[in-house]
Amino acid sequence: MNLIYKSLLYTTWTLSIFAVGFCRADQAKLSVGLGYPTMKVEDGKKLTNHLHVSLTGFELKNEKSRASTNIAIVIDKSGSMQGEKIEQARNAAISAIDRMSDNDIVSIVTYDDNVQVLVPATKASDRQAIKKLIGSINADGSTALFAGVSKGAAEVRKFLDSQRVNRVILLSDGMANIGPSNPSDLEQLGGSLIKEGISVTTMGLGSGYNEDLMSRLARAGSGNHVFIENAAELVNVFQREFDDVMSVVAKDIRIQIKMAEGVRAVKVLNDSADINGQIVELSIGQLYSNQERYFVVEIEIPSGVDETESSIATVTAKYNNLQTNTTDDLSSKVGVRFTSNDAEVEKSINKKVLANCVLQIGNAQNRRATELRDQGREQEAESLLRMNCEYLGDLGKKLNDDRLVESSAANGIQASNLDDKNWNVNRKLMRQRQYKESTNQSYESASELAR
Amino acid sequence: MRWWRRVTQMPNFTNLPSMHRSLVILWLTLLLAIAAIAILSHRSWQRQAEAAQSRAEKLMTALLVPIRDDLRQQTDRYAIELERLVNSLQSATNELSASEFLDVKRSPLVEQLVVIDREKRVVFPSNTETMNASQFNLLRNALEMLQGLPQEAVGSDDSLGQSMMTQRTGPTSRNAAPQANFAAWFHNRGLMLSYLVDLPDEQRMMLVLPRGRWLADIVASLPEVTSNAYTNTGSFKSELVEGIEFRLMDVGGTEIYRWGDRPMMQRSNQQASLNAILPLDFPLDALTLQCIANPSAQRALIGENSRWPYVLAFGSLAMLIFGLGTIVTLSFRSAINQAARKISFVNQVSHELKTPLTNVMLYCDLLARDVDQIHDSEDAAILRTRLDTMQIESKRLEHLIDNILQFARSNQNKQKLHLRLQIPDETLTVAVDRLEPRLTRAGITIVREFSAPLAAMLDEQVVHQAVDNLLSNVEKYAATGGRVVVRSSQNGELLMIQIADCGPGIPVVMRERIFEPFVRLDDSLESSAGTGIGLSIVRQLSKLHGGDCKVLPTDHGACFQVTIRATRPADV
Repeated sequence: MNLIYKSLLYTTWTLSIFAVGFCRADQAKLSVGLGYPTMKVEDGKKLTNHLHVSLTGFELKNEKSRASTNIAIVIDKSGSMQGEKIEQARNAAISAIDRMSDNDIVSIVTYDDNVQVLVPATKASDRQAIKKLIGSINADGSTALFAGVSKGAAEVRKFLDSQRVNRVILLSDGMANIGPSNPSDLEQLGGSLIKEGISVTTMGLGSGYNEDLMSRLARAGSGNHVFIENAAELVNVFQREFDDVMSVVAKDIRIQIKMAEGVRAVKVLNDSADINGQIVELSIGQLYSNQERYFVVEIEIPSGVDETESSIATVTAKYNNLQTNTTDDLSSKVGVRFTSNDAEVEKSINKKVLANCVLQIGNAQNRRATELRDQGREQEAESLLRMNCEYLGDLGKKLNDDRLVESSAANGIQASNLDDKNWNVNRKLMRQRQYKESTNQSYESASELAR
Repeated sequence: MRWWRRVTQMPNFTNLPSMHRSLVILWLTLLLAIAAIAILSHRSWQRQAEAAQSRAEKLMTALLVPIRDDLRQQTDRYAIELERLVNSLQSATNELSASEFLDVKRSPLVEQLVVIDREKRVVFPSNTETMNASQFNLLRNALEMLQGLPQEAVGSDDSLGQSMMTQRTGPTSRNAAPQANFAAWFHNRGLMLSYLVDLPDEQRMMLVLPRGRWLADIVASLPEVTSNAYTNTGSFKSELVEGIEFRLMDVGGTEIYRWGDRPMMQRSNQQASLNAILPLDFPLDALTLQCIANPSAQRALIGENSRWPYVLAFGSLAMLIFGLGTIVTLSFRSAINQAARKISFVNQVSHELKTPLTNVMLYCDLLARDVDQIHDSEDAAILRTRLDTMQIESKRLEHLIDNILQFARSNQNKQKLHLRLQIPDETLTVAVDRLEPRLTRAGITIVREFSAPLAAMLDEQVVHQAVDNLLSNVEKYAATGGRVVVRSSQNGELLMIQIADCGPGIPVVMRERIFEPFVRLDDSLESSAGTGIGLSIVRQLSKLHGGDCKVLPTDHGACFQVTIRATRPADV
């Protein structure tokens, strides 16, 4: 009897580790897991584990069924953009227009000292006229970045539709020197826009922009952030961006994690989520076709009794399905098993989940290193990066995960570029990688590894 | 008014240095007048420019008013939306839970939400550990702000005092216009906007609006540059005035947004640019609208407020004055030249007269010696009398010529003193002796009261000529008195010679004028003979000798006093 009960319990437990929501073809997949699904008993101690919540977008069957877009392309045309930069920016915008279908809405906003709404929000059907206007963009003057974003958002808002992919794409190569330039102001703007369903992607061109402002705006606005070192890559980057934009399958995703009694959510490693008591609220602007978006939550669990299972959290997700035009609800549960057997702990590890957790831990360390270097503590930053490189490298081999190996290599390169000469570009690379890893972004432009 | 008299006396005025002085004074006066006109015309131009400027500024402020009013609607819309949000909350249940607060926080208009209870304890948010530093600071400031507000009415302006930020809340209490529930405060040197809501159980909620968001909404509602191919849907298109740049300014003078035409000259700051400033309405009254006109718009607004009419008016007036001055100077010059020529002519003639006169006097002396040898006493007495007359008249002529030559010398600044050690009284005696025969003939008795016996450095010519001239005057004008007193005294190095007659005296008003050349008390032809230069020569010589000559006030008669600085050997 006892044996039957045990095996039954084991089955349910195994299921619950990877509790998967309804797995329909046109529905996102919610997976909840733990870095260590089985933990060693350590009586009376608070144990640390990582909760892994992942949502994967379903595959977009064909281009034609994709959600229409409503996009504002905001282009910096300040004096520093003169020459190849503005030329490539024009090409990139024109290539984007070419990809749009007649149902897509587009607006083009340019800014220098003033803002020009070059193309107010309109259907992309009149391509020739729009392209002609884009061709007329010339660079001159200062950088009224905030106003550019504001006007771009206002253009998107004119046709704001929950069934469309609403996005502001900001391209800038310089410091915002007219209007608000405080990263937290732009962060708040991005945060407010995503609540409306407008995401913001930021593209930093060259080495003159403020990577904190740009990455925080994108982060709050739930878009992509990319560092384009060479203007020649602009067209390619725009294509990648539109690959993302045109493959959005789910929008306005809200994930709520309800911690079980006794379990404490310490922090979300890769998000500035709201934690209120036992409830953790997470939100994602959109999910691209086949994209996996995951969050790693550091949790504290009181040690349980050997050979028993405790409940950890219940996760619910709600999103706007752009294929079926419905609001879908998903839910899942997760629990942890306690054992006194070390081998069992090792055996239970889900390598992919653990790798994700490690990647985010490494990412948090990397952010800390940036902070140290900003404070002028170059030595500490370097040793932290080297340590991080080793940590990620070791676990990358152990878990057989390429991303960890790559991140390890990047950390190593970053560690040797902290001197004043290389810091400016290195910092932009670090911010981009931090952003890309923590938001599971699909693409990047410049990379440490390519240098 | 002496200078004026000098100017007006110009035609017969022959004192060259003082004439030059007069010209300098004339030109200084004219330049002063020109400067005064310049200042006045500049002032009036300025005043008109200022008036036009303030008119234009009023016009520009009028451009800002509709923009301000439109921006007020922005916060009105926020108030309506937030009210709706709060009402949906309150109608649901009386006891509000964390998840409902989280629902409110999902609004794009809410960045942070703080709830406190009656004891001002924090009800929401319950966990601040996971917040990053900037979120936490914002929350802390919001909380301080909320806890610092008076419990009863949102609208009172009780100030906080405990934190670095300033708070300003609306003027009326909650049930009035929703605007009144806004509170504005400063965080990280930026203006924060929040909305206050009273909840059941005396709980109070503060919704902090995302600064980036409301700034962006304001910016988005302001006009932008639009391309020609598409029409502008913004509400301010009509307000885009040519040549005027508009700006929205943050607290502390940083710029939030600018639109309109670029002011071309603005960066060079060559002239004070024309601008107008208007603060927004509550709760955004810390922000200001500004407009700046570029030079062409300034001209359009102010009008063609040109300097040229003023410059022209000033120029022609200045030219007029300058021309006048030139004419006066030229005629002055020719008068001076003429006078100089006259003097030189008289000088030469006098020189020419002197030689025959010397001969006449020499032969008179020889004749006198011859007459003395005639024994017929009756004939000799008659001849003697006639010869005396000839000698006296020759002397008078010599004196006259000497005076003219002296006067010419003084005008040419050719004078020099020939100092010699001598006893003043002796020199004086010689001088008086020379004149005594003439005075005696005129019936005048000379009374000598000399008391200057100490030897001193003197130019005897100066003493002789002074005494000659003064006694000649007594002979000519004061003969009726019958008596003249010649006094001398010594006081240190000052030698004083007084000549007091008992004649008709000199009117008080004339006592200074008579020392000017060619001025005579009675200038009519019937009056006594004289050239009118005697006294001026006496004064001029006295001055040359370090002293002066003046008329002493007397009850009757006239008393001239000559002062001479005669250095005594002991002092040398």
